[in-house]
Amino acid sequence: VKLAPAIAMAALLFARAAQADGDSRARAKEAFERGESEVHALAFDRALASYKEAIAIDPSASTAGLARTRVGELESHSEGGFAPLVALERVRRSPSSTRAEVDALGAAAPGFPAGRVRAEAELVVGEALWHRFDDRASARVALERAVEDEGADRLTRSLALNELCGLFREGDDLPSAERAVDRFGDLAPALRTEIRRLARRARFRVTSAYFLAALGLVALALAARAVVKLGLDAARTRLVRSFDLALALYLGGGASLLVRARGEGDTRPFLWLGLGVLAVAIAGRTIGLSSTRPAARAARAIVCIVGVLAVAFLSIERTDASFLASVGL
Amino acid sequence: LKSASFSAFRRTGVALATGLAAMPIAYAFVRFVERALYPTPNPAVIIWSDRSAFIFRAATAAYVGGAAAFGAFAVAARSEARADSVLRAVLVASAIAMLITAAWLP
Repeated sequence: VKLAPAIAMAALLFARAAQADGDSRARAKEAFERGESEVHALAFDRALASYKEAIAIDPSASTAGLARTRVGELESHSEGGFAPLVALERVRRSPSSTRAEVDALGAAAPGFPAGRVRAEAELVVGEALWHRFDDRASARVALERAVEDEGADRLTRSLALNELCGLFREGDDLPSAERAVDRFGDLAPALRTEIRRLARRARFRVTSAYFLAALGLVALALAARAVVKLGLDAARTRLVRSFDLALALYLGGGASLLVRARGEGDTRPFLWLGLGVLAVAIAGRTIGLSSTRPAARAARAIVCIVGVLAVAFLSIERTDASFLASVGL
Repeated sequence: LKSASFSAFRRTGVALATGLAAMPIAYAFVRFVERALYPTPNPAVIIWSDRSAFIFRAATAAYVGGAAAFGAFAVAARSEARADSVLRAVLVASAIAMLITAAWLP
């Protein structure tokens, strides 16, 4: 009985505290929601103040964590008194922004103060010009500016480098992509490895194609000379051997059967390999007709080995290049 | 003609023997590549292993051995003595490959 007043007082205090707590939660939530509305209305300076107010009212409210994130984001994009961010968001939030609007942002972006917004604006402009307006030249300029912007954050520059390399790859301009990753590869090491691999593959492709074309031309000239010298039947007998045909059939057909037995693999590389090896063998025999000296025979052997390697590479690269990735090409 | 037929028969025999001897080498190589490049199980191999991963490796080795037989036949057509030397070398390499496979690449 003696304790009853004390208990009643404590209950009253707890009730008041709970009511005050509920009030502050409600005011913090109201400030946070006001901030969200202001962000939606592009009033970023007022939104920043509202988020800070929400945190100050009740640092332990459920919205406080998100409010702190919003404050961090806004403060890191506040250069130029939020004017650059407003210009950027007007375009970024409008998927159907016109070319004139995108161009206006592109023209304004280089004049933005150093900070995160400048590169983000260049990235948005570059993506829009490439994907929506198919203006690759202008997109390239914007993306290059985004990648080169040392005031920007690493993620934005990395995304811009990815886009830039994608742009180059779409235009079959791997040398430019390779130059870009050589210069800025630290931003995206995996992309650098990938682009270098593709560039290496392209160099192999060109070298192989030129080598086989040259071999084919030489073989054709020598075959024509052999036909003139020996006659068609004799030349054919000496140039096209049943052994070569059997080997080509084995290489192409045998491997195709193996691939089919394993599953639904692609048999085309092996069929082309068989045909290519047959062509190289015939070319080797035409060269062999011209000279039988040991040096010439050794040179012919080397030419044939390189020819078979070139054929093997092209058979895979032209049909299913994914096989090459496992050997670093 | 009799001598020529015998020679062709012998060349074919040397080529087949070389091809057969090359198969364990090819098998060891396939196994080594599997272990080196796919330390975690290759999904394709797992799927195939419902039937048999070994059979696929053996089929690949047989294919490579067949290609080696063609090469040996070409060598034998030029010089049977050289083809014999190649066969001896391949037999020794084959024995080593089998030992390696048994000891380290089961």
